[in-house]
Amino acid sequence: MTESTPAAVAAATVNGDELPAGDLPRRARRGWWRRNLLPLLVLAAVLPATVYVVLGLPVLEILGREPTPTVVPAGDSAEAAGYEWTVLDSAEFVGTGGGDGDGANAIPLGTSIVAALVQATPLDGASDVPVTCQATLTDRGSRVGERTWAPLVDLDQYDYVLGADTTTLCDPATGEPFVLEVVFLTPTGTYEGATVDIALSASGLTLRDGTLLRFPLGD
Amino acid sequence: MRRVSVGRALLGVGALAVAAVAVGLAPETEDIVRPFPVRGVQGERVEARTLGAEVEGIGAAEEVTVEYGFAPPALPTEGFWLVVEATVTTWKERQSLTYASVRVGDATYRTFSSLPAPALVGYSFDPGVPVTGQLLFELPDEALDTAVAEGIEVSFAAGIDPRLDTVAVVEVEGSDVELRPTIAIERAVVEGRG
Repeated sequence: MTESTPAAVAAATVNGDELPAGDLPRRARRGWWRRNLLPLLVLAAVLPATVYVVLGLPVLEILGREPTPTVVPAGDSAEAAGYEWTVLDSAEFVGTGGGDGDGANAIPLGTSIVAALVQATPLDGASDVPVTCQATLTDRGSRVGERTWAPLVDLDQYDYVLGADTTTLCDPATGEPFVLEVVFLTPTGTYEGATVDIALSASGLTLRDGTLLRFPLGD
Repeated sequence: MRRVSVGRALLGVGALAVAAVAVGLAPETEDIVRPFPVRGVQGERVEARTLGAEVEGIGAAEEVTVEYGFAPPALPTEGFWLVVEATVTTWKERQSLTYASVRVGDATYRTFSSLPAPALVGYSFDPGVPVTGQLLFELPDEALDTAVAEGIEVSFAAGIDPRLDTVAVVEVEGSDVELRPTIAIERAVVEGRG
C-alpha cells in the first residue's frame, strides 16, 4: 500500500506527464474547466431562461395589465381616445333610509350614492377607432386595501334621477360630445379620497393598449 | 457478478417501505385544494377573505311562494325547502355569491339558483354594502330529521372557485328547523345600518 504524502502529490502525473511541483493545481483547474465547458454553457443559457419564464413573465404580465394611470386634478382636463375628458361636478348623497322629512331619500342608512359628471369633448382630427370605455370608483384608504365599485344599473330603487343632458353610456366611438353620469352605491364616507377611473381601450379586452384616467373626488 | 452487501439491500428495502408509507399517507388532491372554513354560529358575522356572512334565521317549508319578479308564484318540491335568511357583504370589488351550500349530516346541498333577481344568489354585491335576502335549498324528506337532530352548516363563498380560498361557514342549531306549510320569498335588499 502506497502512503500518500505531500511529496507524492507534488510528483503526480497528469495524462502520463510528470508535473513539476506547483503546476498541478493550475493545470488541474484548467482541465476541470475544459471538461465541464459544455455543461457550464448549457447552464449559463438555461438558468437565465428559467428565471425569465418563472419570475419575469408573470411580473411583466402583471405590470402590463394596466397602464400607469394619468391623474387629472380637479378642474383639469386630459386628452385620450380622441376626446378631452373633464370632471364637471361630483357629489355624495348620504342615505337616510327613507322617511318624509326634508333631505330624506331612499338610499339605505350607512350607504351613499356617489355620482360624478364627466364631460367628453371630441378633439379635432380624432380617429374613429372604436374604443371601449369603463368607469369605476376606487377607494385606496380602507382597512381592507383597495376597493372598487362598478356603476349602478338600477337607479330607480334609490329614486336617483339622471340629468336631462347626461348619459350613463360611455361610448367615445360615436365621435359626438357627451356628458357621462356615473353613479355608485358605496358605504358612507367613501367619497373623500376616492377616484373615478376611466379606462379606455382600443381592443376592448385589456388595457395594455389603452389609457387610464384617474379623477380624484372630494376636497 | 458484483456483490451487494446485506446492509445496502436492507437500506434499499427500508427506503422503499418509507416511500410506500409516505405515498399512502399523502392527502388526496381534493383534500389539498379544499377550501379553508372560517367558522361561526348563527347571529354573528363570519368573515372570509372575499365576503362576510351572517345567518339571521332559518326555516323549512313544504312549499315556498315567490313574492316578486317574474317567477311561478309557488315552488313545489318532492322533499322540503330549507330557507336561510342571511346578510352578505363583499370586501374589495363587485362580486356575486357564486357558492352557497348547506351540509346536513354527511350530505352537502347546493343552493337553488333559479330565483328571479334580485336574489342573494346572483346578486352583484358592491363592496362594503350589506345585502339581506334568502337562500333556498331543496332537500329530501329524510334530511329533515338529521337537520333537527344534528343541526346544519351553511357555507358562503364569492368568486369563481372556492378551492384554496376561505369559505364562511355558519353553524345553525337544528332546533330552529321547524317544518311549515309555506314560506314567502322576498327580494334581496340592501341592509340599511345606521
